Amino acid sequence: MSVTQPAIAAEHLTLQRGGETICEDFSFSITAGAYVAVIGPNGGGKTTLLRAILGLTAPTIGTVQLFGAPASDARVRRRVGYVAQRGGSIDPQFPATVREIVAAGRAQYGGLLRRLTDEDHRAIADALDRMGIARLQERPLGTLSGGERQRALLARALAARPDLLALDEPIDGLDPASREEFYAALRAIHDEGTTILFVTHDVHRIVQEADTAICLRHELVCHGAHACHIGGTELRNIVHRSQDELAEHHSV
Amino acid sequence: MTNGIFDFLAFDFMVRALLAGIVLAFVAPTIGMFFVVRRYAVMADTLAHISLAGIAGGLYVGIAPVWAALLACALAALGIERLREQRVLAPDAIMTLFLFGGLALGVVLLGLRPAIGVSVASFLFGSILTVTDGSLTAIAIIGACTFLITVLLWRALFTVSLDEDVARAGGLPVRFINRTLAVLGAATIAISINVVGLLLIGALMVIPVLAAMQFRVGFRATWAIALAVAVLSVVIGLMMSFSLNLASGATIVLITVFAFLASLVLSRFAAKALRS
Repeated sequence: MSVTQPAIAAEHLTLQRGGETICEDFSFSITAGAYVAVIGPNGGGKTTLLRAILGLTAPTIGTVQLFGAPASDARVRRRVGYVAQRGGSIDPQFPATVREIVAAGRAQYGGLLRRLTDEDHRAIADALDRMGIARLQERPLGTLSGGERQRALLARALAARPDLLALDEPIDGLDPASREEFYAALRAIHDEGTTILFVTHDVHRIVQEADTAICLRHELVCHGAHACHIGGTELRNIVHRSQDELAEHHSV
Repeated sequence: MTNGIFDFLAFDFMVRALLAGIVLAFVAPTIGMFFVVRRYAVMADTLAHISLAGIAGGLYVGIAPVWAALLACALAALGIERLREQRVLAPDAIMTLFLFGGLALGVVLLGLRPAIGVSVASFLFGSILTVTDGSLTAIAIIGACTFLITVLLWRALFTVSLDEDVARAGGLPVRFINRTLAVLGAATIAISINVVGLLLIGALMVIPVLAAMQFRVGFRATWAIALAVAVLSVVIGLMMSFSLNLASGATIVLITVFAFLASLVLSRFAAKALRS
């Protein structure tokens, strides 16, 4: 595989949700190893875009490739770790320990009948250590705080040792201290070369972390290395200003 | 052997019922675990009602009830999964359609030919007298296959049950796994006919799991407790059924309800003890 191959390449992407067009004829490329913030107001289409990138929703028009293969290809999706919005559909009372949840991250490797190997156990222990939750590994999910739960879900994604880590508003509901711990953990993961796709409306904080931004507000507002083109204050304004005021930014 | 609690083992039909019940006690909560954690417990009831149509059809063409129920439930389970994937209707609406459609079809088929020589009540509520050598063999084969496939697919079933989207994003074949679970559920219903009956099998799949979940332990530990509850309920229920001349299926289910109530109390004591 070519070193210069992008982690994500979207071409002429048009996405609709419930008959409403979220974005139209949208093309972009994300370099492997980038830290990408997908920002925009609530309902602006961030999650729809993320789901299209991950192959969970078929685009109305256009294509998405992950590491050079179609996003719909199950084999390439094994390189993806995903933390869904609000913990996805996981019931807080789901009867599972932290370790069992993190171990689920290894299920995407090998065949369906494969048993856990020593390599799997090392990956699980490593993910637990990195998220600082090794001491919680025998605790049931229902006994964890919001911050501990999010770290367990991130550890599950990390246990897959992904090349692309996709996070959908993972810090919602966390207190400031837990948010900072979460950002610090992501920084360490990014430093090792993992591509990070971070969906959030916390523009103020994410511009200090990410090196690239995709800004959506029912349409593509801007895309690129935001530090070169557009400052954090402007991005905040874009997310919060009225639709009519966005036109001047479309050329970014 | 006189006046002992195991006197019932002197009767061949009770030995067959006990063996069939133990197979069912291992399979029902194993599949039930995955239904309960996915909030899909009504699936068991839906398939059970559909199996009545299968049994009625089987009586016409000379197929044994276990195999006829398996065929009907498996086809319906795949149909339910397909509609759920297409998001044509909400899952509970889909299952309501199948539940009442299956029940109505079964009643109509049975009514068209009333002199079938078989008690419909024995299918609905279970009758240990109907466990023949042939049905015991079928229960053992279907039960062993169901249990084995579930254990082999355990990690995939767990991962998909935890969060379908995350599993799909990681490249797992979620559709295949969901359909397999639906068919395994159908097999569980099929082997329940003689021991607890169609109207009560949902209880044996769900209540031992609910009892185990009160202890707030991990997935495997919850499963182990649910198995223990189910096996004890079946053994004690069959013994009481024999001794007191009670309906076997209903007695077993009442014991699972008692086990659930006991687990509510025990889990609170255990939590208090841990805190202190």
